[in-house]
Amino acid sequence: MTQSTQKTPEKRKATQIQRKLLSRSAQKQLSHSATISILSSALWLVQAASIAGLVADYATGADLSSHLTNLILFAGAGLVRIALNHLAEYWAYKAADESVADLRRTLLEKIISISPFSAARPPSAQFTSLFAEKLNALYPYLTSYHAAYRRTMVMPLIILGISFWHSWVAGLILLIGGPLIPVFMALVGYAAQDASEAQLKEVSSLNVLLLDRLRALQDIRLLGAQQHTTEAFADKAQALHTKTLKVLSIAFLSSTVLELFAALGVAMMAVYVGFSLLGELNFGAYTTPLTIFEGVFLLLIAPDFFQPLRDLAAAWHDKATAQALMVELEDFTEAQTQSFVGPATQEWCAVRSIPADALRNPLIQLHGLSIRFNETCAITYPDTTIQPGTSLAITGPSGSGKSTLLALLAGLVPPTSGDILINDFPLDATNGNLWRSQIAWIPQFPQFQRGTLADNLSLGSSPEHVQRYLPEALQRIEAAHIIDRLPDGLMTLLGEDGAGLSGGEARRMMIARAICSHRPVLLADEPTADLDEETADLIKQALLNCASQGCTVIIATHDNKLASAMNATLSLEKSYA
Amino acid sequence: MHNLLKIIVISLRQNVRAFSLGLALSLLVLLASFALLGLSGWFITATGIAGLAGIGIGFDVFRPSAAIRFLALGRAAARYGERLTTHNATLRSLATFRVHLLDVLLRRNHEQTEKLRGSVALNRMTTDVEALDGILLRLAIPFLAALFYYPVAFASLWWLATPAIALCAIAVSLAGAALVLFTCLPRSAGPAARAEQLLQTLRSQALELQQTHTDLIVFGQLEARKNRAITTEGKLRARQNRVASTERLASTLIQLTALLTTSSVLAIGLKALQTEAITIASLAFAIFASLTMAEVIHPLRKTVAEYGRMKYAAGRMQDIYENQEVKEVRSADVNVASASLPAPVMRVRDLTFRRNSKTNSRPILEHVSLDLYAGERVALISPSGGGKSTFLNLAAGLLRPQSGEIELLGKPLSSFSEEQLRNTIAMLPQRSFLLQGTVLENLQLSTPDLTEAEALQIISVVALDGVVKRLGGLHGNIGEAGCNLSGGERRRLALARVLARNPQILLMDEPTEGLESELSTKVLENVSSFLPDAAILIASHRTTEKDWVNRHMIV
Repeated sequence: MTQSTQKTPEKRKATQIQRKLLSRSAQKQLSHSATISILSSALWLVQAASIAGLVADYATGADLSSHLTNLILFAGAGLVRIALNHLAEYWAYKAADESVADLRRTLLEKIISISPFSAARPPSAQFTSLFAEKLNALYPYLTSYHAAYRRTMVMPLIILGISFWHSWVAGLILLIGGPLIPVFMALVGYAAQDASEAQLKEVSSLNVLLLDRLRALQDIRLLGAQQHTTEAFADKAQALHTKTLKVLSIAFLSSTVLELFAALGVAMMAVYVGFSLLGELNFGAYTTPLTIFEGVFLLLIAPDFFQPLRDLAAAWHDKATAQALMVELEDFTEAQTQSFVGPATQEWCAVRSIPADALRNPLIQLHGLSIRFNETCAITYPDTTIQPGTSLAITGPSGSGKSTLLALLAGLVPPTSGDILINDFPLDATNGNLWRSQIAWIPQFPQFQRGTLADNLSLGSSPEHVQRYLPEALQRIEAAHIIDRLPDGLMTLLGEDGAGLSGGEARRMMIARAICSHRPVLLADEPTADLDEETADLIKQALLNCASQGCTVIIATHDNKLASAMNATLSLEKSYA
Repeated sequence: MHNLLKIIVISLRQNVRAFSLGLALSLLVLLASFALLGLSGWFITATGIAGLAGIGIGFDVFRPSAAIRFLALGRAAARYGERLTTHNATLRSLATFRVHLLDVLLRRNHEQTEKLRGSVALNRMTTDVEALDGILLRLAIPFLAALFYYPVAFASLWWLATPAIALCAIAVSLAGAALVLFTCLPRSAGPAARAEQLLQTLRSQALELQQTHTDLIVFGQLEARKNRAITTEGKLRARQNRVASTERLASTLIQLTALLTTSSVLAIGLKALQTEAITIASLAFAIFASLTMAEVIHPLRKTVAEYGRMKYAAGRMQDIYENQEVKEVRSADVNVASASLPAPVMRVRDLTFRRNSKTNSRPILEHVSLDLYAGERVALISPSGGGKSTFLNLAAGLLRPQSGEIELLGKPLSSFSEEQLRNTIAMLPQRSFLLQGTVLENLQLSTPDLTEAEALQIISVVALDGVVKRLGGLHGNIGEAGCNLSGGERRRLALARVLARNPQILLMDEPTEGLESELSTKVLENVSSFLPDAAILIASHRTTEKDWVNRHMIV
């Protein structure tokens, strides 16, 4: 009892979410599909009647023409049913297809607009699996469960009515067998839900374990731990096997019980009909005794009293999966996340409120700038002016907000209060993209896109820029021998974290990318961290070179040598508010 | 088909008994359905006729109705057993596939491991393996069951109805099945395989978009990447739609076949009734039984929908299976004596290595030689990209040189088995990954029989005592990829994991990267007193590391 009261809000929530998630047109299509599928099921009554008529006519010695009529009726109704089924499936699929496509777009729009520094950002593996394979789970739910549910609401009632019309005993047989099914299904459903949740947990923990091992392949080998790892994984895989089987056995058990009920109902019907026809039972039917037509007809339609329920049970797993999915979708789309400054499109022209060249030669001013992370942690920055073409080092202990200031300057995260003024225009959503088109960015941890080294170096540069500036950029970081060494030179495909390049080399490539983009402002986060002196010097020279060519260079760094080479230093202190 | 067959054979071999049982039960279900409905039809009609003729009292109702009850219960039980058996066997073989794949990946060589993207490999081990779950359940077993079913159905219709009805019913059903296979399968297989591939591409694009989000925002590439994902999604949808429409076509053809089967039995039966070649009760048997014949060809619908995907997945499995020999690390045996001083424990002669052996590009290492003695500490010095890491990878047997020799304990490196090699030499690579779990689990990865006392000793060598305390002891969880630890703490735990191996030769690639000088010095001192007799070779650019070693070698 307590369980059922717990379940109700969950269920209602999923239904509400479904209404919210599916577009109006998709819901309409689904309802078309269900109606058509009910019509198709109802046509079986016509087919059953024609078979019953045929048998009865023969037994009572009717002529050939009535046989032919029955045969044509059977085949004709069959053809119409097939056409209707096709149509019903078509509508349901269309609804599912459009819904999934809409949802994918919504998810994509949402994820790209979230600030990279927003705390509520979901882990990337989790979002990815929601976006790609999990959404596909909506297809079976929308194409099979929905129509089965509607059929369950209608068909058993119709068949019950017809049975009562012919014989109250026949009606009673179905009436007794019918309601037991939902009761039993509810009991099995609760058990299945728990088992299914346990299994889903096991699946995701197996995936986490796997990804972990796959990342650490080399370590595992170097530690001679291959066998140990394989054995541990085999145990885990075995556990998943056991849990999955548990879920399946509950599902199989429930459908077996349904089948038994159905078989029992049909068998009782057959026995009743048989005895009535033999004349041994003389009650129940209104035209005593039951005619052959009625007997055959009742027997043929009895299985269809149970069929929608069995379809519903078969689609139960799809429904459970889809409901879990819809709650997850809702959680993600409704989550309060912070977006970065500016729209997640390239169309800055459409929203810009200032001339395209207003942010060239930028004079950057920080004005009362502060950012709050949570109740206990906030950073306030001193008011500062950065003249165009100068260089600035941001220094201070870890946690003092150096990287955050760079993120604020690039509009990656909005400040809690205060302004960043660029040529006296406050940085906001209308000019965020225009401002970023002036900025080149050197991250602390290089991440490479899937593709060649050349693709990665030309990120954000037009082909003309690449042709004009890339050779110079590569020369500036002395990349010739690095590229020489790669199997396909600039056309080498890189691994996710730049495998094939050492840490220092990857950082140098990021600097080449920035130089190649030839933008008037350069932001770099710890460009010399973890590098040997020689490479650090090389990078320092490359950055100074940019500054000497009129680029505004802003660097967050721990490296005193690098900081002292800049025109000015902004020294931050650790502050908690 | 070839690859699919191989996978089918492999899975069948793993579970011969379970699958034969499953197959037998699945055949039993089909035949029970056939008999159940046929018998019910016959029974009702026969009783009806008897009633009309007024001979109801003499009609034996008990035996047929007992048979109907038996068949109904028997079918339900057989179906339950069949499902449980075949699913159990399928899940078991999927688990075996996964373990086997991981094993194969773990034996791949260094360059292949380096190129492997975690997300791609994960796809392979999860979605590809899942795609295979229908191979036996929805492909092999229904097909084999149908092979046995048709002769039995044919014989019983021949015997209980007429030969013409038997021939016609079976012929229509088989022709329908063939029609579905020959028209729908070629239409859906290509798009289904492509859809699977596109879904994996979409996955990778979504993952990359998040991982490089900052770069994409700043360089104004967000919209381009979003559009790329939408394009992929559009292609995926187009393929999925094609598969779905073909599946609907298959379903329609299957239903038409069923309708045609029953209608033709009816038509032929009516004719036979007129010549009195058949009784109405026998005809009712044939009609009702023919209604169940759709059950046999019904699985074809799923075959049409999934065949392409299974084939694609099986092909990728095969690719791993077949290349296994080439990729497997050597496993030759050699009798390794323990180090006998004063010979060098590692001897490198005239080593040359090019990353790409085909081109005449400049080698990364050229004619390098080195002798390393027990208890000695040597630092490799070169500018970034100068080949320090490559040298260590060669010494650890991860890469093979184009020319030159490496000897460990007086024996050529190539004669060591993987196990012997790892027992002799340990290496801390430049980038190493910790596993999600506890501190102890991470240490025991390298040394399963490590006791807690030994673990604590090693923890203090790398100066992680305080951190372990903070985590709540050796059983404290370090989080996914060690996210509960700082960069320097992760580095030290990775070092601890290597030290737990207690190696004769220790290779370390920039061991103290990310540590403050004072702490580095302390940890390095601890390492030399913990492994006083080990020969240690490090790649280094830091002063603290250079000061710690006995001698330098310029690469």
